[in-house]
Amino acid sequence: MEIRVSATRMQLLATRKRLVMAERGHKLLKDKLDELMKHFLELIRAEGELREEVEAALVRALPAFLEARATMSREAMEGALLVSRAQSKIDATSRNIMNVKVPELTWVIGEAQDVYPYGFYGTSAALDDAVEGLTKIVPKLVELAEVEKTIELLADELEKTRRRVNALEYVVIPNLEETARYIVMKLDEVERGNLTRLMKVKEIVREKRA
Amino acid sequence: MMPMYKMAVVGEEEAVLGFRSLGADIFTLSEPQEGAEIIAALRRSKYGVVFLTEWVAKTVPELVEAFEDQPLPAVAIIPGIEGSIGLARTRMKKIVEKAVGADILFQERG
Repeated sequence: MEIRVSATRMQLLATRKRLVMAERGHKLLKDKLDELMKHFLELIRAEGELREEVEAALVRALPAFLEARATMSREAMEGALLVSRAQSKIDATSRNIMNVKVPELTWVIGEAQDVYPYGFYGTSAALDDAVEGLTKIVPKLVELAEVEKTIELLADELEKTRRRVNALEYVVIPNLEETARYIVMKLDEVERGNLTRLMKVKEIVREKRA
Repeated sequence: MMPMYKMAVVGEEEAVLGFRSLGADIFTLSEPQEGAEIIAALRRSKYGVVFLTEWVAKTVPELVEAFEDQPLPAVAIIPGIEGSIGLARTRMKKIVEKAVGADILFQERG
């Protein structure tokens, strides 16, 4: 690579200073990367377990609604579900993991005194069971969504940090080292040139005296 | 008072039926073209969590990606009525690969 610096002592000092800085930055970023990775792996493990649990539960809960529909008229079912007074809300706050803002979500159901959002007339017990089953799963589902979102956001940050670490490690730091070496060599060369010139001059002076 | 967000479920009629009883906003999808409309609707109001059934995630992948770079809403894939085909796992695997640069996690589980 071509190096475009003037080979002076000043430049050498500046380059060495930058090198120290780059190395410090590299170390810090690397620590950040390690820490992020630790969090990330923990989350991934948690996500896997949570997902398995939720999927299994949901696969059991959803067909319950179909069964419920089979035991009552379609209109009654639709009606029962449509008049639902329940209001699912999500309470969101944010949390900081290694300077990445991640959401914390909680499921809030309005008017929670009554999970069955309809009257008992015309609805079957199967529907009650189905609703109850689902109500139990939803908090887990929301948690799963939160964890997956966190993983997504952390993954983004991880990738960015990794790229920076690599840029420093494989580009910036080697370049600076190369530049410093180049300047040192150039300065040595000038030094040697000076020395020979002095020796030559001394020789000429001595010859003249003789 | 904390800011409250809404919950949305996007999916085929049978799978989202139950969520109606919980007062979540329901979007049903019968054709892939409706995906864009749903994304627009989801953008318009404040949603904290969006659940997509696997079938939706498969037919309209844009819905999964639309909110990836924003802190909210959190999008999660849920199995539909026929059970899971492992789409959510594939998605996580892709994210891990992107972040770590290698498939370090799922190889032993296939």
